Parts: sequence; structure tokens; C-alpha cells
Amino acid sequence: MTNFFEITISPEIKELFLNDRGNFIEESFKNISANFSKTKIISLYSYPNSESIPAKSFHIEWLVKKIIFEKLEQNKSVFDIDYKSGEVTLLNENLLQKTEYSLLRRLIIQVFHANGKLFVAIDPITKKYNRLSLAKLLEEHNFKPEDFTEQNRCLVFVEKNNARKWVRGNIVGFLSDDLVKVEVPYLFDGTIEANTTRVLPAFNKKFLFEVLKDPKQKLNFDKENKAKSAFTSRQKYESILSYHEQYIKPIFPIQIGETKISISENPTSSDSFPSEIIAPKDEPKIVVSRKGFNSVEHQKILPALSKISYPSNKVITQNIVLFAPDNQLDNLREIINQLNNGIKNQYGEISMPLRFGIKFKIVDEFIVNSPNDLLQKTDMYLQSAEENHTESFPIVYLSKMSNWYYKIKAKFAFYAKSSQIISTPKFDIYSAWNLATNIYAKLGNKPWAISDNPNMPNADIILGLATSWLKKQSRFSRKVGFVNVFDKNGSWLFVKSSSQDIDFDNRLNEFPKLMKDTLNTYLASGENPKIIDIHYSKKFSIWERKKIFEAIKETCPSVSEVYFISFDDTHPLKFFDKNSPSLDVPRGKFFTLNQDDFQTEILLSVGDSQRFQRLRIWKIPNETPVNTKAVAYRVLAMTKLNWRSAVKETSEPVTLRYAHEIAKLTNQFSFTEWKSVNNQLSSKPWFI
Amino acid sequence: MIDESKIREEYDKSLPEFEKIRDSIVKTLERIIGIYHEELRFHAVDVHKARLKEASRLIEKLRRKGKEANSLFVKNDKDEIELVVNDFIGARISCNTKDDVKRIIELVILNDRFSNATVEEKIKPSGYRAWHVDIFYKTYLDDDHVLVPLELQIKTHLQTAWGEITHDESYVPQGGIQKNIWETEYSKHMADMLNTLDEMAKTIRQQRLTTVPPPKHLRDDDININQNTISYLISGFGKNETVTRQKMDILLQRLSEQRIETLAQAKEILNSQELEKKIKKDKEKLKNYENVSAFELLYYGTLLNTGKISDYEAEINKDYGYSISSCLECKRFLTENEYKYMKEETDTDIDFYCEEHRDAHFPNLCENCKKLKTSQQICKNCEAEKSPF
Repeated sequence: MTNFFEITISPEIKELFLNDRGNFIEESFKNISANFSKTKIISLYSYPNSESIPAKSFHIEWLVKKIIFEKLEQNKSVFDIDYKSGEVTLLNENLLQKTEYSLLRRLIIQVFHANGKLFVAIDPITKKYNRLSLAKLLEEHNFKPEDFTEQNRCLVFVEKNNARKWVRGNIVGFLSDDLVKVEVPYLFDGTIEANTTRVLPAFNKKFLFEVLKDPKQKLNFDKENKAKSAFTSRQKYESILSYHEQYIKPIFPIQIGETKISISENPTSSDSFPSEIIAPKDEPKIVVSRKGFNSVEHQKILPALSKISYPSNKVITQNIVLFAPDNQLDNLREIINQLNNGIKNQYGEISMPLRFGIKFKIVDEFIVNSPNDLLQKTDMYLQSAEENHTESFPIVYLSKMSNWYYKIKAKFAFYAKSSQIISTPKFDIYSAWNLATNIYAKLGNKPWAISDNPNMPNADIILGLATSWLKKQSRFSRKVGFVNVFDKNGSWLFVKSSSQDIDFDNRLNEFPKLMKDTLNTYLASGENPKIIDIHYSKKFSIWERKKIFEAIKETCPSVSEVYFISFDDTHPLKFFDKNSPSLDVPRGKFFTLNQDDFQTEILLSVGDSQRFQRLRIWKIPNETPVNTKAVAYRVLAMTKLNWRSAVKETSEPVTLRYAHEIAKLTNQFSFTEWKSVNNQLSSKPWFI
Repeated sequence: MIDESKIREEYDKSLPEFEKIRDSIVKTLERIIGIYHEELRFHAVDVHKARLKEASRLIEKLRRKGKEANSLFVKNDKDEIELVVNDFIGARISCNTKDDVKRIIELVILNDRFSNATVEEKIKPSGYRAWHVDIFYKTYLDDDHVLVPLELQIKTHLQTAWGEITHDESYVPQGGIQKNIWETEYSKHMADMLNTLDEMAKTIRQQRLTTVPPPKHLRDDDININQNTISYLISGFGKNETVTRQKMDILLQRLSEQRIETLAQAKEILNSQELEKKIKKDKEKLKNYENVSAFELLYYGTLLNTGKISDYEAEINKDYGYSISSCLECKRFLTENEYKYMKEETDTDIDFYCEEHRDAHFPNLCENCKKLKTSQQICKNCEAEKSPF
């Protein structure tokens, strides 16, 4: 069972047409056209001066997507259309409505090819909407205009062809107290001046928490939304059938000239896609290695970590410095006390000295009752030459959702300090495990790794490539690249950033340069890698792969195979297991969507019943086919390595998880005065 | 003897036409300001909304002046139709300096649509200062050629500000404004101070309008753009054109912004017939039929040359008194006032219409806020407050 509905096009499309963008006017109903490049538009039929090209599968996907979204746009119960991500929200499906926000059903729709056939996948999700206009937020809730020009996505109420609609926009700036400039791509490629009463800033949990007065409401917020949003696999499958019936099927058949596009009544069976499974027992084990101890292994993280017990004579002292307001200092001290002295429950015990061989010693405390205090006291600390300070690890108390979270993180990172921010006085054994592991890693240690498997060819080095948008002159205009490096046992080694901005024009130079720098640093430790996996959350272009491979070979001739693995976890593709009453697909099962000399594409279940990683794999050289099972095994292994949490295993490979964390933090840092992370931190996971 | 009922009847009958005439006077004045701007490149000239004299005030004025009138219209010595009062329409322009005032008056008098001007610099004991131009606007009313009397007040911005602060205007409301001696003295004193400032502004302006003398020769190493090389280049463009300091400054700024750094780059723009043709064509669309000057070719051509078409269009339109938006119906560029009307009085986002076509598309006053004209029963701002989700 799947959520794929097959599209048939009759007669088959063999050629398409390219048209110059200048003066292009689409003849709707007679033709379909979609963006092809900055200067060209592709169309199903020819226009005067069109150039004929052979139709490729992705061209057909673009055109079918375009026509589906054009039809959906005409549906009055559909709004907030994001063409790029293929998402629409259903006005009639209001799951929760409060004065301040509401929760609505949203559909992700994707047109794609698999096994030579064309499909549309439909995935129902939920989306939270802010219901307070910009005018209300400014007038009644003490927000300032700058709060909305940094986080500037919004919905704006506009009129086109006599029909009024809420559509997506970006707040560009304020013209007066009640007039804002908003970019509205739905209307045109420019800005409109809109009254603040018809602008709804995008939902933002932080804003909402400032708006909600009732503490109970705040507490219930997550619970309530989770309850309303959650789907079992069976509910999801049933809702897919129902949304197809209501919203997608009625669009078809579509007749454009002589071309007829139809959609299947029912989803395609999963039997038509080859599948395999890596059972949990076959996944790599967690390995904990500590100096002076034999390595220990276990399938799960906590039991593995719990197998280590340091005797008191092997425990070393780590200086720490606390920053907290008057009324939280005791709580913070108590947390440190508990980490030092231990917390127990029926399943085990954790203390920093026992499990990690480190005892904290508070060497200084700074009372910080105001933002100004925080700035001054952190200055004093960072500029201090006292050994107590220079050799210490800072722990800061900040209230939940504090505006200072990123500023303080940025400031410490700028001055080459890893830091720990604690926001809750609530502390249990699980929080203790997470906090202890976090600090242990940030001090430059490796909490755990994964075992070798002689039966599965492992990569010698795994590189997590990522990019992050940084703000420059109030717009996200700079993009920097970075690579997280993991050894063959999945231990994080270091992170390397690009020295130049990565933009569309220079990425083909910058990515290879970044790879060279990264490998040079890695090779300095005397390693000789043969197989390299590169993980990236975007698609690799053919030129990116070629140039990166050349750079790798040039730097490290011993490399024999490079796997470019592109991850997509925003896709809407789902499989359901008809043999299971819950319809859940077990972790480790993967389905091959496409496999040819050019590219291999699989959908891998990563644990969470409805979560699949969509992997596109390219191997260079490609003389032999990709061993999909080995790649799936390695990807599953990387989901066990998130040092951010010792308690919960994630469904996301750590390569992407860390990339995501770094991107989020560096992006937030770009709003502060401490924009760069000090290079001295490159071998400490300051971002976890 | 005044035939009040006939005058009122004629007034009411022709009111829609009078309103059109009032608006076309503003458009003509805006076009004159475009010419002024093209000539001197000083911005900040405001053409204010014009007012039509109400029928009751018109009759009251006739009475006060002891005039006899049995019709709103009279024939003059040349057998042309005029209106019975000399300030039937009142318009106002504010500009930077007293010299600007004088030049704008000259341009108004020279304009074909105006005739029989009487210019007077009014200086009242209260401190009020302005130039009043009583002039006729030539137009047609029911196929008859008519001269509509216009009282045009032209002031400096400082004089306008004084009027707004002291409420001392030429048009004194019925009953007048009572001021105590203290306030009158202060107002007068302030007017004198502002007049001194206006004189100082005039001096600065004169300085800005002196021409930059081009050198006779350039040295071999004069390859970069500066005041000297550009004035030489412009003077050698074939028309012996010179530029003022004002124009030179904005031109150098433009060239620097667009990274035109060498004389060779500037020459390439000056020699481009394609650019010249395009600017000429666009000027004509904006009702200016003068040839393209070297200054204009460099000033606008650099934007066109670097592909900044929308910046170019916005700028040339603004310089000639038009907005960047055109009427969706008749495709004509909107005047600044028409554009302002659409922005301020309607709930439009991107659909703009000229004065003639806007009412058909924005026919209703919002039933809720009663502020904005809209295509539906209530405006978008009010409808948005009832979010459906």
C-alpha cells in the first residue's frame, strides 16, 4: 500500500518546447507551461518561435505539477499555496481554532517518476496559523516592527481577478505604523503596500508564548496540538484516500489540446517496488570506549553508557562557571550538585563522575538579573585571564524562549567557548543523562560510537555537507558551506566551513575547495580512506558530483569509491505495510523506487512509523551497481550517533542533524553582533 | 443685480465638467514641474490639490465686490467666454527657493494652456508672503472655448510651513481668525526670519546652478571619471552642452553607483544610438518632445545599460511628473496625483487606473470603515479582520 496515485498521459509526450521568457504570454486551457530556466519557459505545445526538445521525465513532472496547482488554485477551499514545496492548506479542515492561532490540514502533493511510471503522492499534515494580525500584535501585544522584519514570512489578504485570498508573502519593511511593504509572489514580482490589519505574520511559537497570558494555555499548547495533529498509519492511509477523492481526483481528467491526463482511482500497490529489510538485530551496536576501560557494546545507547563505572580515583575535575539570575542560582547549583552526586531510578543511575569520570567544580558564579548584566558579566568572564575562568566551562540559566539564547551562544562561540544553556529547573534522570552527555561531548570527548560489521562494507569517512543562509543587510543573502566529518565508527571528528560565500555561480568552485580543505585536515591524522560517503540534504548536480570527486581524488588518491547520498525527508512519499494491523512499516525496511546506471533511489523507513528518508544515491565510479543494502545499513547506523540525546534515538542521520543544528545556530548568530564561530571550536561539537 | 438661481443652475449643471477641468489643471501644472525638473534637476516641488470655488462663496464674492451678474459665464473684449470670478479655481505649488518660484511662474506663463497672467508678490503686514498668479486656463466646455480663471499661489516650502503654523492663509475662513497681539507679533517675526532663510537658500541655489566649465583639453592620463572629464565629454558631444553643479553632482553619483568608472565606458553610453532612441521614445510617451541631452543619455542610459529597466522606468516617469504605474484600461501612465489617489483612497494592491477609469473598478465606499473605495462591499482591510481560519 502506498500514497502514490498513477498518472497516465495519452498520447505519450515525446517532445516539448522551449520559449523565451521575455514577452511570453501563456494561453491557458490550450497549453501548459512551466519555468525551465532564468530565460526559458517550457511548454507542452509550441508557440511562435518555440524550440523543440525531447521530453525528459522531470520536464513532464514540472508540467503536470503546474497544471495540478493551477486547478487547485481555483478551488475556494484551498489557500496558502506553496508551489515550490508543493503544499496547500484546506480551509474547510479546521482542526483547532483559538483566538490566537488555529491548526489546519495541509496537503503535500508531489509529482514524481518511479520505476518508469508517473505518480502523484499525497500526504496530509497539519500546519499552525497565527490568527493575530500585525496590527493587533503591534498595538495590543507590545511587539515592535523589527520583530517582524527579521522573521518576515506572513500571509497577506489580497485581491486578484476580483477574488480575495490569503496568500504567502514576506514583510520587507514598515512604511508607517500601519502600513507595511510586502513581497507577494502570487500577485507579481515586486512589493505591495498593505495595511497591517490584513497581514498575518507566520506562526511563531515564541511570539505565541508572549501573547498567551494564561500559563495553563501555554502548558497545554504542545499537548493539544500533538493530539489534534497525530495520525496512526491507518488513519493516515484512510485520510489519503479521502483527500484524493475530495481534492485531487476531481481535477482529472485534464484535457489540454489533444493530450489527456488521467489519474488512478486507487493508490498503487507497494508490491510493485522491490524491498529489503535490515532487522534491528543486524544494525550496528553502540560502542562506548573510555581510556583505561575495555570497550563495551550494546544495541541501545543508555545501557551501553551505563556499563561504564569510573572508580573515584580516576575521576578528574572540570571547572565550571555559572551565570544565573538571583532567583535561579540555587536551582542551577542543585542541578550541578545532582550531576556530581548522581540520580537513580529503578532502571539505573547516572552521575557525571561515575559514567564520564568528570566531577564539576563551581569556580565562579555571576549573578545576571538583566540583559545588560548578562552582557557585562560575560564580557568580564571572557576577557578574564584568571586560570579559573580560562580553563572553565560556562553554564548559563536563561528562561525558556529567551531572546538571549542565540546571542549568548553566539558570544561564547565567537570567543571560542562551548557553552551550556539550561532553561528549566525541572530535572530528572533522563535530563541528567542528556545534559551530562552534552557537556561531556562539548568538552571534546566522544560519548559513544558504533561497531564495525565485517559483513557490511563501511565507509571510511562520512562527510555531512551543508549550507547555511546568513543575514547581510537585513536579508538572507550570504550562503556559507560547511562539512561535518565522521570516522568509520561514526564518531564526529570536526567541522570545516567554507572561506568564501557559496552562491549559485561559485558553488562549483567552493564545494570542491571545501572538500579539499576538509580532507587535508583529515589526512593530517595519517588516515588513508578508500570509501567516502557524502551526505547532503539537497540534490547533487552532475557537475557538483564530478567536481567534488575530482577534488577528492586530487587530495586523496587512495579513495576508490565515493557515494553521493542526497537525503530528502520533506518528501510526501509513504508506504504502508498491509501485513501489519497498524499498517506501520518496520524500521530498516527500504523500497527501491528507481535504480539504473545513472542514479539509485530508495525510500528507507527510519523508525518512526510514518517517517521515510528518501535517498538518491550516485556512486563514482559507477561500473558496479550501488549496494543499496550496504548504503541503507550505513544510513541507519548514522541515526544512532546523535550526542545531543542519550535517551532518544533519532530517525535522522547525525550528518543531517548536526548540519541542521549548525545551520540554525549560524543563521541566528548572523542576527547578532557575534556573527562568526571561532575556528578553535572546529573540533568540539559546540552546536549540540 | 445677481441672478443667483441661474448662476446656481449653471454651476450645478457644469459641476462634473468643472471638476474635470480642475483636475486637468493640476495635471498641466505637474507636467510643467516635469519640465522644470528636467531643466534644473531640483526635486521637492509639490503641486497641491486644487479647489473649486463653491457656488455660495462665488455668489457671496460677487455681492461683496458689488458686481452685477446674470450668468456664471461672461464674454470678454475678445469675445471669449470667461467665468465671472477671477479665482474660480485655486491651486498651490510649493518649491525650494524664491528663484524656483520665479522660474515656475515663467514656465506657467509660457505654457500654451494658460493666458493673460497677472503676477503679484503678496506681502501682508501679518507676515504672509506668496506669489499670486491670476491666469486663465484655456479649455472647452460643451464644445465652447472657455477661459477658466485660476488663482495660482506659489510659495517656498518655508512660506508654506509658516502658513500652516500660523493659520494665516490667503483664504480667510468666514468670520476670520482672531489672534492676540502677542501671537501676531510672533508670527510676523517668524515670517521675517524665514524670509532671511529663503534668501540664504536662494544663494545656495544660485551657486548650484552655475555651470561647470569644461576644460579645453584632456591629458592622456585623464581616463577616469570626474567633474573635469565628464564636463569635457558632455561639451564635446556635439551640442556644446554644459551642466550645472547640481546636475554634475547627481550625474557623478549615478555613474559611481552603476560602476561606470572610465571615460571609455561613459563614451560608449553616449555613442549608443539604441539608448538614445529608447530614451527619446519614452520621453515622448511622457509628453516631452525635446531631444535627449548628453546629461540625460548618461543619467538614464547607465541604468538601461546595466539592465535596471524598472529603476529606469520609475525614475524617468517620476522626473516627468508621472508614476511608474499605468492605467490597466487605457495604458496611460498615471500622474503622481492619480497614483496617490489609488494608494490612499482605494484598497488596491497592483491594479491601477487613471482618473477616468478608476470609479468603474473601485465603485463602492467600504460599508464598514467608510474610508476606502473598493471593488466589493467592504474593503480588504476590513474583510481581513474576519479571518476564516
